[in-house]
Amino acid sequence: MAEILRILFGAGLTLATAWGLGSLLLRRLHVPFTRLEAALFSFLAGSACLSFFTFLLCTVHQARRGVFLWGGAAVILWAAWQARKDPPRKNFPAGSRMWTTLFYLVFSAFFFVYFMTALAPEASPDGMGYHLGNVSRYYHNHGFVWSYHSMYSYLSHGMELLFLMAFTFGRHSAAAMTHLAFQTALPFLILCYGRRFGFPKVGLFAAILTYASPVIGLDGASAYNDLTAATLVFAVFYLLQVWDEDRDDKLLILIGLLAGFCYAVKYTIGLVIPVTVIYVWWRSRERRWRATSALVLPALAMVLPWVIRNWIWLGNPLAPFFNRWFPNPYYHAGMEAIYMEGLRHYTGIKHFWEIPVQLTLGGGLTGGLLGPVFLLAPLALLALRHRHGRRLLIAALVLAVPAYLNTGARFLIPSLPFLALSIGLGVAHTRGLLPALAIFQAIACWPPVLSTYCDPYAWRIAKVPIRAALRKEPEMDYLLRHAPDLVLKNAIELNVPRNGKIFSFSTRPEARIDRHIVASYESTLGNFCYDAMLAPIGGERPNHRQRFRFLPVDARRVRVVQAASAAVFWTVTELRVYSAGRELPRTPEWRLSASPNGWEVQLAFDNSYATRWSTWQAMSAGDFIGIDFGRPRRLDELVLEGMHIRESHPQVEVWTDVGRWVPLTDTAEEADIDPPVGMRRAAALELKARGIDFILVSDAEFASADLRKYPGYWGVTEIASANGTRFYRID
Amino acid sequence: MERDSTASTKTARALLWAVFGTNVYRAATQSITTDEAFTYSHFVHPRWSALLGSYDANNHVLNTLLAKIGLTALPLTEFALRLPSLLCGGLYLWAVWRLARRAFGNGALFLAAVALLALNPLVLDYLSAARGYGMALALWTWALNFMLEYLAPPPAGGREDALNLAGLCLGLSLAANLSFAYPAVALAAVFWVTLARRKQAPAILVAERFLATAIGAAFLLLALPMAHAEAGNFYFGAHTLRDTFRSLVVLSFYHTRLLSVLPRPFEAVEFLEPVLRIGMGLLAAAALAGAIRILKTGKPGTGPTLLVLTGGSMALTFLFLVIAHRGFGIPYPLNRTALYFIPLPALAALALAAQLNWKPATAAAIFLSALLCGQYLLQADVRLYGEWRGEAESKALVQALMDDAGRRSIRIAASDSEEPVLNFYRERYRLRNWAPVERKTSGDYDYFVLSGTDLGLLGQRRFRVVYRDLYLALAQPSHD
Repeated sequence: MAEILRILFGAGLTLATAWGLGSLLLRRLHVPFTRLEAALFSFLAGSACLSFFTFLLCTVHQARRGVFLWGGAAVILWAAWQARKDPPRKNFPAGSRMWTTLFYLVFSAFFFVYFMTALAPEASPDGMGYHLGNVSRYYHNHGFVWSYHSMYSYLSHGMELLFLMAFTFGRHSAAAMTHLAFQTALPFLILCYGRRFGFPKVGLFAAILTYASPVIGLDGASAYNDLTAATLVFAVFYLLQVWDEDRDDKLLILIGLLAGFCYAVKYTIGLVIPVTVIYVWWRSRERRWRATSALVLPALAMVLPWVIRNWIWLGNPLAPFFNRWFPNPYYHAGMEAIYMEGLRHYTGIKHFWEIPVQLTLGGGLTGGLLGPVFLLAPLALLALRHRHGRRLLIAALVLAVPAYLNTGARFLIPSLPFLALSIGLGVAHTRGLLPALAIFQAIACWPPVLSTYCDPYAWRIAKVPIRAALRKEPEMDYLLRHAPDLVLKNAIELNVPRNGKIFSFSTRPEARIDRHIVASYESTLGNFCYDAMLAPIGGERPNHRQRFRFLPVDARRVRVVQAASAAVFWTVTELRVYSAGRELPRTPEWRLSASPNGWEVQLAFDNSYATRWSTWQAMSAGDFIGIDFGRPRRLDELVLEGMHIRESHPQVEVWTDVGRWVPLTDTAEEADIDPPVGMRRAAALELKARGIDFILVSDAEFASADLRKYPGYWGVTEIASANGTRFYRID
Repeated sequence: MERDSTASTKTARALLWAVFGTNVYRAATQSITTDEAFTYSHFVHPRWSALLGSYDANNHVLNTLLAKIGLTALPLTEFALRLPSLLCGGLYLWAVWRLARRAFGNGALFLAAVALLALNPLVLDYLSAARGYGMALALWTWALNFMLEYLAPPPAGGREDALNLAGLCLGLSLAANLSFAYPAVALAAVFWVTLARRKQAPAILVAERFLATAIGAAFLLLALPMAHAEAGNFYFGAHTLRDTFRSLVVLSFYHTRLLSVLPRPFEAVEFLEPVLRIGMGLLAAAALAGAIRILKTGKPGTGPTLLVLTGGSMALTFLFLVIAHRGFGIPYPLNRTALYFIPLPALAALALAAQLNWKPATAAAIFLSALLCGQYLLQADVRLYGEWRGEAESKALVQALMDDAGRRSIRIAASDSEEPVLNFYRERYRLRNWAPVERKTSGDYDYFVLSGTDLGLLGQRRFRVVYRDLYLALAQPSHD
């Protein structure tokens, strides 16, 4: 019971503080909203403000319990005090009783399910992973952790900062409850929209359709940010329509704030900002600059903190993306491309017509489903005859663009309210169809009914976890059903020191394991470890030598330049320079360089066959790796050792006295070589040298079988294993 | 519509009531068939979740739903299982009456229409069998009725209710049986073209009231059951249109017996199939030409409109079938899945004859109709369904088994087609002393029920034959 109270307190304090800040802001803006609109927009605007203030606290490492508690209480009291003085706001006229009853019936039933799910221990993959993993780190450090590097920590964390306040008091479930609040706000925003613009039944219909959607259900009840994104985007659209009618420029401040918060919550919906700016510019006939400024400045206030943070911290304002534009040592451009490419494809789907079926009825191959009624999306075209319909459809299409980059069903969530409204507008005059479809969606998406037809592995709420929510079931028992590898939590926390690191091939529930886990694809360190582990056993073993011989030449600098371009990476395990048959010893006066990825050039000169330098992006002509000897040296041979890359065509160049590079040769003697023995141990030692003393690997992963078969060669000891996951110590 | 009662209307009314009465009798007395029993055991009897967990082409969703609802109130009998189909059969006959009256008034053509649409043996089978074909036909015919009503000249025409109901019926027709997708879409397309041509209703009104209703109705019933449908589920059909028409000839003209107005029935089938096929093609072309002419000239009236709708639908249906087969490998319709090729050409032909306004054509149409109806009547049989004649005596076999086995606990093995039938009767008669019947023809069983090629086992093993007819045998292993 105490734990439930803490959860509710944490979430409640966060939401009340947000509302308080928002209501103070709205009071200053004097925007004529109805009562329900005022409550909703206060909450949303206040969330933006709260996230911003928490950002400032995190920057100075003052995100502490006391600050949140007393600061929050002060804001709430002040807002409540100020609210006493406000005249009561009007409400929308009462709508159809049948529709209102239907909406509240459906809403109540599904709210119970979502509430219980959010209250239960947070067990979602990304929630337990990077969302709350970052929050947990912020909590322990009272702010940003500059030494922790993972692509997920580079994203904007507007929502995570709200989670932080809730997490401080109520931990993981309080964070999920915070997201639940945005999920709850969304259907009410939709019905307000319908009421304000003259189609109340359509608003109620769309609210039911959206709220009952299975992917919205589980996502909103988990510590994710998709429902926050969807609610914010809809709010921005809503306010733009209000502004378009009223032309009250004070609204633009609110719009800008929320649009900027969209970026702060989730990069992909940051596209709302340019779209909004273009729209306002286009629709403003007079005082364009003033109107646009009123919009842009608050938006920038929400965007710039994240951009500046990343620019200073990582050298890439848009991290973890656009690494080709902003090269940095923290995340490889090639890894970014691989990651993006992986998200873009539907695995297991053979024909394009399977996509809408999976997205609406199946869910197993699309990471969730939207619900069957969205299969009738083409009916939304009938809404084109309405002005609102045209705008809603355009918004739905624009917000579906990010779904092209990530095929998960939840990336379509921002589009759903617009699509639902469009469908409703399109068939509003078809007798009986709207209520029939609404009831059908509610019944079809009810968890026990849903489980009869959707894929068994579809991401959804399969059962209402009442016992887990009320903490009548032990938390770990519940969590283990969702994350079996959590069974190793105790072994990990007992064996790994506080500042120790663990390498894992895949992501782990890092929010639940209080240690630093380096996942293979999340950072340059993770990439390095992955490469090193695979060097002894994978297809990229260093088994090839290219020997370039040329007439003796005195040169201060030599480099190997790539002449070819190809989609593969160019890698070099070792680069050696010879003179009269003897290798020039590497000395501290040497200066090494490479492009791209100059930060890892050392890996080609460390005498380890377990490591290699890589361009970490598609090979292109002009890429190079080179040495500045510090003084002229005589050399007549250069050797590249590494894996055989068929597309590669390097040539050797030297720097001449006249100040330019001169090619010497591109003809190499190619030979296959046997990689040295002991590479497994060398790889393990390379991890150890970088502070990683432990490895977590699942049985299905690539190196697992080899680790199990040859622990002695690797120099590892298995400490624990369970549920197909093994935990090793590097000796 | 005229309400005057003439000889033709009295005759038609009596005919339709007689047909309905016959259907009731058949629904109550005929043995259950394999497909009906399969529907019962896989979709009607199990829990509601079974409808959604997998898909089979045997599941005619609307029929299944209505049967499930009916059996919550009624005890399991053949009649109770067939009740939804029977009632829809009644709806079909009513639709035929309204359609014929609206299009032909009264007289010989009216009577010919009623008889042709109501007496075909293949159609009659599905006005009582617990499948969705008759239901789909009834709803499709009602959709046609409502379209004619809407297209009628004012003040009778133009009612939006008719538009809604046409859409609803068309959507439900699809939910009753997916094989009606072709004529349903064809009819909808022709209807829309007609409306557009006559500028009778704005396109958006048609889209809202008609199209959205049709799509919504079909969607609400089909979306979840078909969530697991795959291309392989739609395996039943013909490789060529020749096979399609052959099956229609056999089941319409030689439904139960080889009596015929034509000599040498086996050869007659070979003769009739190309006649029917070519005749249909010519009829489709002529009806389409007539429809186009009527659309161009804007000739008003229900008769011309009927020709437009049926002629256009017939042509489009053929086109869709060919595209589906050639483009996507979907089989052509066969037997019952070609059911719509009974009323559609009949209506098109009679409407064409009426529009030609040429006495010889009308006389020829009436004569041909009489000939066809005569052949139909020769095939009348209340003991069996044409596609499952082998199971006509299933009930007698079961009775023989019950008499022979008494109250003993017994294990029964059956041929593939008989297993669902026997398990149905096991439920129907609450035979708890029977273990669930298994699909096997060997093993340690007390009784074997054999059909088809399995009947050859009677000669190969030592059996005591308890019951035998042309298609079925009940045998007990002999231990002598």
